[in-house]
Amino acid sequence: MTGKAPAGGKREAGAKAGTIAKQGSGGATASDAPRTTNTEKVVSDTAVYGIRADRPITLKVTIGDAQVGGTTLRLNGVPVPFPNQQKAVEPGLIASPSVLDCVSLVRDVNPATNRTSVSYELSGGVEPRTFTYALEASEKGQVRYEISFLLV
Amino acid sequence: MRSVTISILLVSAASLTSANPTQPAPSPSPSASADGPLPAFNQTRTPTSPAFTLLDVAPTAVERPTSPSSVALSIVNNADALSSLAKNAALEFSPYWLISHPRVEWRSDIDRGVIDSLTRTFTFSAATAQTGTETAPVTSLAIGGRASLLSGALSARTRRTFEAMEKDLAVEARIFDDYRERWLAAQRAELNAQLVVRLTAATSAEDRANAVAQSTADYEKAKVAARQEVEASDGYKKAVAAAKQEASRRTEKVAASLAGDRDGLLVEVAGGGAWDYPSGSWDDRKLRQWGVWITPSYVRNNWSAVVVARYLRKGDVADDRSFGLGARLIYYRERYALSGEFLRQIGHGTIASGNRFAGLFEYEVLSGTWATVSIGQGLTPAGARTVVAQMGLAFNFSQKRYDFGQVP
Repeated sequence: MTGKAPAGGKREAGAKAGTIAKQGSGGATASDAPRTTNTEKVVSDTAVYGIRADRPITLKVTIGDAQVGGTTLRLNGVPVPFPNQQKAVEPGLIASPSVLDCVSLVRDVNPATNRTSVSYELSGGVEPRTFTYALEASEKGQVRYEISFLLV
Repeated sequence: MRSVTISILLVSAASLTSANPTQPAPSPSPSASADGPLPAFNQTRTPTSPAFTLLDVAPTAVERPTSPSSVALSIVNNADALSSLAKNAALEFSPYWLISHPRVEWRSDIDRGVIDSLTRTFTFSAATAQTGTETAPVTSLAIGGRASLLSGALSARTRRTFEAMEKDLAVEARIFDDYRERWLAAQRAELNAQLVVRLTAATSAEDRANAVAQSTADYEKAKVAARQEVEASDGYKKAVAAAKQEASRRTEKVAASLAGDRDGLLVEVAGGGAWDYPSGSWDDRKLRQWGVWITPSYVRNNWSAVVVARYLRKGDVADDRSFGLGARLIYYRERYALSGEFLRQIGHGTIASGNRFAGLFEYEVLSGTWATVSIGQGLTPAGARTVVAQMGLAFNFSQKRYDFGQVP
């Protein structure tokens, strides 16, 4: 599943298991189709975010649809501490090009829906952007979001 | 996460009555139960799917679409391209949850105002069934809605469980990330170096954009390859299994039984109507039954108090209607529960009136299997006292003891 997401648009509602939904800022590119490992499905993407040499970037991760999740971050291979995941994290000044890898694991706990979603809000760069991904989990299952940002 | 509660009464050991030949025959469900002329307490509380209750059907297959397009598809499929009603179909969905809500975190759903509660808990249900005979076919249609005016708040125990689960999921994500890094580190360094070369060589904005696009595509390929290596790795599998085991000791059991549980004041309301269509004719339709329910409850710690009120009116028999009002107080622990309940039904037409008091003791003999003993007294309209005694086993597949907090 490769291609460019329409600017500010939603490619797919993510209604069925196995579909990928993305609401990017126009710079994101989609990657492989989600796949299942036991109860786990995967959403993977590498998006581009424009940075400025004189300003640090911040990242806020939001686990949506009233589900529960945890995230780990890595900048150019170095783990970024992310103890308070409800708040934005500031990796600091970043040289271009860099890669920020995010792995979010989301579990379906909401009795009303199996849909999961994760939003990554990046700011401090050329302009603030929000990258939103969604996928329906299996019943009480998990979805792993492997989202990377190429910072240039 | 959707959960299903199915309880089966295996043994109904005794239902002793001081015989009264004038006692009215039990009305069909949902107005009556095996206890006598009165419905069971749980039949009086707000139903999960009012349409199914009003039609008196328990569909084996309920379509639960999860997107607007699948709702449309269900309707078109079951209505023969909108030209006629399906003969046996059941549909249920929550409009709010048909679309994604990426901004709604579970923490923002701890407390809800009335508007949020209504929108997030409203469910629509519809069902059709064949209720006539071979010679006089009748298709019946019921529609209903259900919502919570007040949703209480996520219980403190559930909140603690979710917070622990967040940490466990972050640990699990870290394990994957650490293993992946073994394969991805070299690829990333190489791709970064290539990108620098490409950007340096770029002479136009288009060249730069192409260079970046090529790098993102290459990185995705590297990630896919790294993921395959990780998932094939025995070390990763063992590490994840150990993390899951450690997490499950802390949260899984609690999560299974309490996920989404809400306590405090909850008020559930529902209503709906059912119509008969003889020979499938729209013009000959008749109101079959309509009803409204309201169930306020208060849940705190190990105590729960529930009040139920229900009004049902049938359309096919003149003045056939009933009003039920009841209350139940429950004390529950992990393995057992004690409760006392009272129910009064005022019936008109062929529907009986009466009261019932009952006490209930439940004990978990095996995980998800509950032994129940109930004893109580009923009073029929003719003044006959009835003693109600039941013993049985109930299987609770959903692992949810009481569904007070069943609002989504």
